[in-house]
Amino acid sequence: MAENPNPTRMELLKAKSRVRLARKGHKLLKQKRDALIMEFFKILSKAQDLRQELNAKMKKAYTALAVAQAYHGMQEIEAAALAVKRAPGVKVEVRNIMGVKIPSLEVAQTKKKLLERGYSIIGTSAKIDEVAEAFEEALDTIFKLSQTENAIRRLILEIEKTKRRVNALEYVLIPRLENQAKLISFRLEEMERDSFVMLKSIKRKLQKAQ
Amino acid sequence: MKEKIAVIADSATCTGFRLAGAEYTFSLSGKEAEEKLAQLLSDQDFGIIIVTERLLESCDWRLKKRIEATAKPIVVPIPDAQGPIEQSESLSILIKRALGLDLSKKRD
Repeated sequence: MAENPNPTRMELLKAKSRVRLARKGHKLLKQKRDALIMEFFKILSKAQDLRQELNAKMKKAYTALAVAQAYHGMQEIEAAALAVKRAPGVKVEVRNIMGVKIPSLEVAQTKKKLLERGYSIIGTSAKIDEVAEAFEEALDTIFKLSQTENAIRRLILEIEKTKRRVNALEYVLIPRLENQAKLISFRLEEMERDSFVMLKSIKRKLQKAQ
Repeated sequence: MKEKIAVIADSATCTGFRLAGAEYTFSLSGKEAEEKLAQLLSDQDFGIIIVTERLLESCDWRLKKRIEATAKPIVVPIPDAQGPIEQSESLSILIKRALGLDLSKKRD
């Protein structure tokens, strides 16, 4: 984009169409930003305080683990862990919101009843049950957290990017293009007046000569 | 299709998640853990990768970028036995920067 464009009609038309294009882009980006922010608030209400919850749950789980370790030793716990029935997998789907890929999750039940866990309840004590329960709870929170926190982080980054683009268009690019169009049209008008005056004076001179 | 859950952490954490039923636990650290994480990231069979915060923090910035960019599998940082660490790019800071208002203050 030249700062001093040629003052021709072609250039004027070009500049005007560029302004129009920029305006259209600006409007679209603004809509995108608003849509993203709406989505963001929808998820935010779900995500509140999940982090703190997870931190608390993990702390509880680690304490339970330490206690169980003191009672049984690591090997016994590991032996029990090997016998645990596997949790069903998760189902991750990727949604696309205005170009932002957001994972959403479907989870089957992670909490199990005492007898469903799979290790021998005779060979182990309640301490190990506590550990398993604490970690199951933590895992549950992790599932909840994973879709919200991740999505929020992505949305925020995208919102920031879009916002910057909107502002760049609104405050820099569009005014500059408009200025350019104005400059060209002024020059054109000036040239028109110039030639008009010139014609007039020539005409006068010709009349005098006759 | 069901996706698998992976855990990359220290051995104690791995045992804990094993008790909770997580099938793929990798008790690794340092370079090996990073490599495993990179490998799991490109594996579409995994839905969630649970990683300790400290491990994620020590990762290469390129790997972190990749984690940010991938939607699936989801990488979830968890606190390890030593407790949570302060995240430099915590959510509230990000929110404040993007929206220009502090949501945590409004809630109080």
